Amino acid sequence: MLTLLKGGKIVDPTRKLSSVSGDLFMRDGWIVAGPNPGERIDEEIDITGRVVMAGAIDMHTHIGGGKVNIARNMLPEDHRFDPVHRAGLCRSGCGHAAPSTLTTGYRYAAMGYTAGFEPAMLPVNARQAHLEMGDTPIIDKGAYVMLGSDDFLLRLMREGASQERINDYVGFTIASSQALGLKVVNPGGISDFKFNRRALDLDEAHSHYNVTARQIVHTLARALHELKVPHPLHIHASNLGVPGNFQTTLDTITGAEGFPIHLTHIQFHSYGTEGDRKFSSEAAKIAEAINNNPHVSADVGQIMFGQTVTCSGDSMTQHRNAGFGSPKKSVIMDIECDAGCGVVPFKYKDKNFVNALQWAIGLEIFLRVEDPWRIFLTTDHPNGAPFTSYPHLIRLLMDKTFRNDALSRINPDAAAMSTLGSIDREYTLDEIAIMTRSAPAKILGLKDCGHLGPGARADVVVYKEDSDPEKMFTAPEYVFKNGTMVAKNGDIVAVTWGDVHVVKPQFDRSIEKPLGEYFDRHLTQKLGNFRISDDEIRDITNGGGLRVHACERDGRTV
Amino acid sequence: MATASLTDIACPFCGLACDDLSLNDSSGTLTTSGGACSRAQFAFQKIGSVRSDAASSWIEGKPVTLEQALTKAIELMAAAQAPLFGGLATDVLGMRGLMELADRTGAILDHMNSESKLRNLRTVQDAGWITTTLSEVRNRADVIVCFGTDVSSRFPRFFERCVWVEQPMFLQDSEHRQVIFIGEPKNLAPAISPRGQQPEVIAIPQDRLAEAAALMRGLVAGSLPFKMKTDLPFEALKSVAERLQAAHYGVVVWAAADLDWAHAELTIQALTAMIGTLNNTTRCAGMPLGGSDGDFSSDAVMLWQSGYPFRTSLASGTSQYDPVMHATERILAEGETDCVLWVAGLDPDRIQVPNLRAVTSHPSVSPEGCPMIALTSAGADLVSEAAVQITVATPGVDTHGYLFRADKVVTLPLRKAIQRSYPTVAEIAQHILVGLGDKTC
Repeated sequence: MLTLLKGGKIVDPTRKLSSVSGDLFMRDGWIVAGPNPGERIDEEIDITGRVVMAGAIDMHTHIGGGKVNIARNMLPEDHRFDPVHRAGLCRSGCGHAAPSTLTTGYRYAAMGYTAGFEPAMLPVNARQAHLEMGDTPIIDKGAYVMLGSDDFLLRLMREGASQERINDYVGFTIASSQALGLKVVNPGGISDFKFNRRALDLDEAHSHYNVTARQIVHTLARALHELKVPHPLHIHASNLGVPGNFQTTLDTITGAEGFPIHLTHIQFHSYGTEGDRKFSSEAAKIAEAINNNPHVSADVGQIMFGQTVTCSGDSMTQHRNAGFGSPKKSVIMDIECDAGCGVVPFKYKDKNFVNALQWAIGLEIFLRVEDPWRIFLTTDHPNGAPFTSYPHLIRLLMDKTFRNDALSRINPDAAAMSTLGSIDREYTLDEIAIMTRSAPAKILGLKDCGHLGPGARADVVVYKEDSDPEKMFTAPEYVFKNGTMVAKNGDIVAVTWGDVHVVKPQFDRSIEKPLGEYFDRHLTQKLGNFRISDDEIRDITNGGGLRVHACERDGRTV
Repeated sequence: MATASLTDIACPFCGLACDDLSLNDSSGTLTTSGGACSRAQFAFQKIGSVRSDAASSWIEGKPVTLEQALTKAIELMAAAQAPLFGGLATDVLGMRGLMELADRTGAILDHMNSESKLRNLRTVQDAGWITTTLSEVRNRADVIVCFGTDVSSRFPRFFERCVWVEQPMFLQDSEHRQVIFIGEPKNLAPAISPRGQQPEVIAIPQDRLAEAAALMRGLVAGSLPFKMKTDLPFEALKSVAERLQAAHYGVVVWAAADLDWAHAELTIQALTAMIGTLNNTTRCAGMPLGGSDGDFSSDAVMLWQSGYPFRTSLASGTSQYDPVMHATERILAEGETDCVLWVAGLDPDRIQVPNLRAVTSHPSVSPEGCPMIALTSAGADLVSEAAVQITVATPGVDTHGYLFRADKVVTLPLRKAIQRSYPTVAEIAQHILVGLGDKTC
């Protein structure tokens, strides 16, 4: 089956194509250069004048695993005003902050997203995360598995285990949980909370293991580098949300000592202590640090005003902030000598000084980081806002007048403390394409995604250009997933099941002996039942495939 | 018949989902070794001993072929205006299949354990809680308070697997743990330490447990008058409160199924509020045990696919959650269903057949009554009320599957242990779905 998309304006930063008129051919799910000699074109769609991009990739979105189900369980009120009826090909479900998995897939696809990555999969909860993602239609999925507060790693570090041994454990964990990357959350802090610690700074020693967050970050960043896992360590740094935490963030960057790192939801880690309320923006310093350190990337975790729910592995921080929840309820869990979690509903208000400044800080970071290849468009769904707010966020970035109008409506004290109004930058279409397609594919090591060159998956989005980018990005005219038209003007026209993206780093399997003994002595399941096989993934993805990406690094070195 | 002798098998018959069992299949008898409890031994043996050539499908109690039973089931489902999918004792894969069928037929979904599960759910939806998981209990808990439950009657190996372990990671040894029961525990033997230390029991009758929880909450909050007039064992409860305050990692264990009285959610809330206060100064966590009859598994699938827990109706074409309106007993009593799909596909001794007499005598229901399609494990009794009964493959015995454990964190893979040709719950749901064609909705 050969399909021709004729006459579109191709925006493909990976291949340095900026609104270049041209034809695009898709054969059997892949982009191809053109018909073979004598090959008939089966279908031709005229898209003259339309903008064509690769499918968008959300590189940090909480779409699978226990946290989201806890949110659904705790918050029936979240769904009540966003019911989704069974219609046509689509099953029923519900939307808003913790939508049903089915609705999640449909809405992402209708918005032109063809992949989403769960950033906080606990090793012991990995099977559930994959089951939920397996029930998320159309889009491709993948996950970063969490280490850094698990007792096995902390024991290794306390014992002074070699880096090679730690690499084996990291490799084992990624492979056996079927992950694409590795995340660390409040390094050591989730564990120390179980020992009644309430805050853990970068250089404070864990009260039981006597290792510091800095050591954990460095060790894990190095492990990924040596295992040649494409995605650098995905770091939810220490002291999330704490005024003055910008210094922790800067120290985390230096602490990585040149190993590539990705700082996630950096908006929550860019706070100063200036002003009457001892809460201020240090976005400029954070952006400068990113600009000056080419081995560092970040996603923003933009907040949007309205009701949402925060789902985090950072039980220490979530317990500390539970009192700010709205409605006032929360679930905090200690989990299996492995991790933790905290779910706190939250309502961000534009008239609230802190919330308003958080909003401005996120936008400042977007606009002050110069290289769109190293800053990613996220709301940390649903922690800053549901992913459905992306088109609005894109408009805030592309339209200075619109942004300044919004700025004039927020808490005036916060607006006065922010330099946002003085920033003239407006994101271009190319830059939006970089931060939502080309760059996520690059940083995750997905060679066949995020671009429209021959050999890429035929994940293609066709937009009607509009002076209002929010309108343009809300409901693209056509969305193709693996060459199948799945959405048209915001309606789902075919339901397919996306693939699971993983890496399989090489490691010494002898690590399984001490791990097996550890499981038997201390845990309550067998190592063999902890491990998730390839067959299992294929069993639970409703027909989606397993895509293994090579473990190789580009030229970035220490 | 045997595929092999299998080790590290997970057991689907209670929420602990112990996965250290070995299964042997010899001369048509499935036996367990490893540490299997008597319930697991019995259930595996009962399901496994059913000969594969024995009748496995029935219409009105008479043996029929699977095809005949399925044809009848499709006919009944096609005629239904308001189907109720109840029981729902199945695993993740079974529930996935049922959800698709429920969406298509506009069914109401409710689990056989909803009433007890709701006691916890109401607490979570009202205020939330702080909880922990089995391995954290095993390695950290220095004070363990079992409230209103002896634990072992429902979760036989809890103490063996989570308390009396040789080497807890963060305690000197297990013997130094304090185990305290509040209530009227029946089975205390598993709670005796390996060196013979007896657990402490604060005897309080069930109808006073709500008061006891409130009292402890007040004691921990420091909001009670110094000397309070009560005929509850005040000093003993005060001592428990003090020990939880002094503990490094206290754990309060309850099983909602044992807190079987009206508005027991208020008792759970008193406990979780107490735990919340304790965490202002030290660490303490709740351990709300459940997960039996696949309740956490099918509920988890409901949550992620529909957005809501059990007692959700898909009749309007979208999910509507109402824990009172959509209760099986109420729907039957009010004659609000005309077809029941009853799924009891795990423990053959936990079929929990609903009372259909109420609905069939209700004036709004036709004289043919309300037919029931029962999907049951091998070894289950014949359900005399069922219009159609089909033996389904039990996940963990006849087919593979996935089961959520008591802490809702760990999902165990269930393995196929023997080769028989029973259809899975998901296959039956799919078959009915295809059979319905465009007939409904």
